[in-house]
Amino acid sequence: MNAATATMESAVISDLLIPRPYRVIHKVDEIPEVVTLHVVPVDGELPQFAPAQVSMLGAFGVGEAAISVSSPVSNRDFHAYTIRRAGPISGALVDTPVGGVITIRGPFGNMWPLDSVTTPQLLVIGGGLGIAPLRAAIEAAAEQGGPIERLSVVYGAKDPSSLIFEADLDRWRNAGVEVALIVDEGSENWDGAVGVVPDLLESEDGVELDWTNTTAFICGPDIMMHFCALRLTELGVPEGRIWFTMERNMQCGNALCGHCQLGPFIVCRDGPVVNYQSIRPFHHVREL
Amino acid sequence: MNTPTSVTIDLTGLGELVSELVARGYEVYGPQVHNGVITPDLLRSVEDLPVGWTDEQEGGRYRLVRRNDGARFGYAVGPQSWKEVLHPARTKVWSMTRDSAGELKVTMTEPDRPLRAFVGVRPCELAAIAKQDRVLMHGPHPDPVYTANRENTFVVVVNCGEPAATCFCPSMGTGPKAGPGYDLALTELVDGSEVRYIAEPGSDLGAAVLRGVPSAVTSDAERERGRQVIADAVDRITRQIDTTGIRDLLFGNLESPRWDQIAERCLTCGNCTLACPTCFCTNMEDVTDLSGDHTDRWRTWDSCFSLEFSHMGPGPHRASVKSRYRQWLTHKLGSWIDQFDESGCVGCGRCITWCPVGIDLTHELSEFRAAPGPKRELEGQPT
Repeated sequence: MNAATATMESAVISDLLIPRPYRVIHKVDEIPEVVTLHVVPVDGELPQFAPAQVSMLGAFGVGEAAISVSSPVSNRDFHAYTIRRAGPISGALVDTPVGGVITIRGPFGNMWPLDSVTTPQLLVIGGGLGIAPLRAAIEAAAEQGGPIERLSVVYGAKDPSSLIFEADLDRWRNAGVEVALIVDEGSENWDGAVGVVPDLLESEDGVELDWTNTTAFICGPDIMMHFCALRLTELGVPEGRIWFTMERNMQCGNALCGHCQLGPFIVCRDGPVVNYQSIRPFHHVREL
Repeated sequence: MNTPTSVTIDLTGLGELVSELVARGYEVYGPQVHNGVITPDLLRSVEDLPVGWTDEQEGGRYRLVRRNDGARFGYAVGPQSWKEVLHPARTKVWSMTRDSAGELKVTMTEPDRPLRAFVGVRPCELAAIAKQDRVLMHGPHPDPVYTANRENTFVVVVNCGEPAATCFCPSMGTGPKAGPGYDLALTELVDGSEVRYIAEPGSDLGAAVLRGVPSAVTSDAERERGRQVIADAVDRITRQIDTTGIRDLLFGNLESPRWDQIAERCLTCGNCTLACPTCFCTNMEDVTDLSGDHTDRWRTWDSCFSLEFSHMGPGPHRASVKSRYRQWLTHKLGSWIDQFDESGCVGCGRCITWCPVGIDLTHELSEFRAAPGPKRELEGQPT
């Protein structure tokens, strides 16, 4: 038994505060400076998680960064984390070689409310790396029966070379999922839509849905989520059926350190998934 | 409160109380004069208590002043609260080593569980401890350091007879008479150099400790004097805030120009957050030794006034001064209610006294109330 599992038996220290060593078993170079790490615990079982949950990934001697699990829940062989090199911590994680060891605390936080979707249509909107925390939700919604009859994915990126998970996009299309893509700036080989994500909502290039019978899960930059929500409500999606996943500076993941506040929300405790109706008065306030 | 269990003790009794606590294994802490301020520290005996001193406070100003009586608790609060002891400014969370094969070994710091008695906790500070209990001990994942420090504390509160000009505890419902949560409550009765204390137990343990201390039955006259001490304190507190609908007042003014006016004065030094007895935010810092194979995770107090506090990929989320002051004030008095079902403020006035430019939240709030901003929809709250 290693030290981490030994101290987990301590009555006072929550498991979520204890960094657990994980080995990188495979690396996928998604696009330049973005990799997906496949990891397994060095000792013990792979923990369960729910779509949208976040972990604190630690690079030895550098620090921790909050990253969402990007693998499907049904994958019990490893967890995937998709990481962009943004600073020293994410850079050290991106540079971890296959066979190398990182630490993970979590996963923690709430989940996409998949089980409480009552509409026949589910629209999943991702912007940039925001598609990563949605992947588990898309996989789960595609697998799960229930009321969801039509699953649509709208995914936008900066340019065609910034689109990730292309193999998954093809696989989802083949499984009957409607997939619409858009990029801010096109390129020679791109014959798809160019513009911003809300342009695809109720458009021939994008998705045309029965909006009053649609639930939407959105993950991406704040500004994108804001304008998508405005467009969706304009189209008739009730605010209570629009869900965001929020990102703020997370450090402890245990609602103890105060960093991830957003108005009344403590994102690691009350999120990362929040209902648009709840967050609307606060979401668009600059620097809140 | 006419409780038959209250007794009166004299200075000898106060000394015996400390001795009784020491005999029971407690490290006893009490207010002392250090570096020109009154601050909690380990008490060797009651002789260490700040007899002959009081404090004068105003926005951006704190001075110790002589007093000519025997009061041991004749002052309000200093810059440091019991937070220093319960939620230390710097603690080691874990150590990690990397062996030659690259494998990591984690050793969590097992917190000590000290037996500590706090003598001279102010009612506002008792309320502050309860607020930190709520955040750090009664959330989904208790903080191990705070919990270990807190679970065996014995609290002797001293009702407040000498509020400072910066105090506004009645507005927050936290003083000058102590609410529940103490083991013993004392009210200091001062007659020149003669001092007596009305002592009321607030727990079975408090009652048991009190039985080990020589005491007399509290007379009706003493009881009346005790009530008068509190009533006088209430009369002397002039600052106040109107807490009616305060969460909606603040969230309704998120984009008020008033924040810009405050930002012209705020230095973002973070003194208010350090002096505040309820501010709990912490930062994580990994410190690696020269070999590169051993790293320690330290947790330190952090402040929402620091730029790095809100760091995200592209940089600080709250870059402007106004956004950082707004975060502090709206959290303390507004969103704390959403997050923890109560206000984060106890009305101790430290943030006013220790602000180097004397920003006074009671004044700022009255300005917001006098000039409400545009109406905003406020139904939002965490679901």
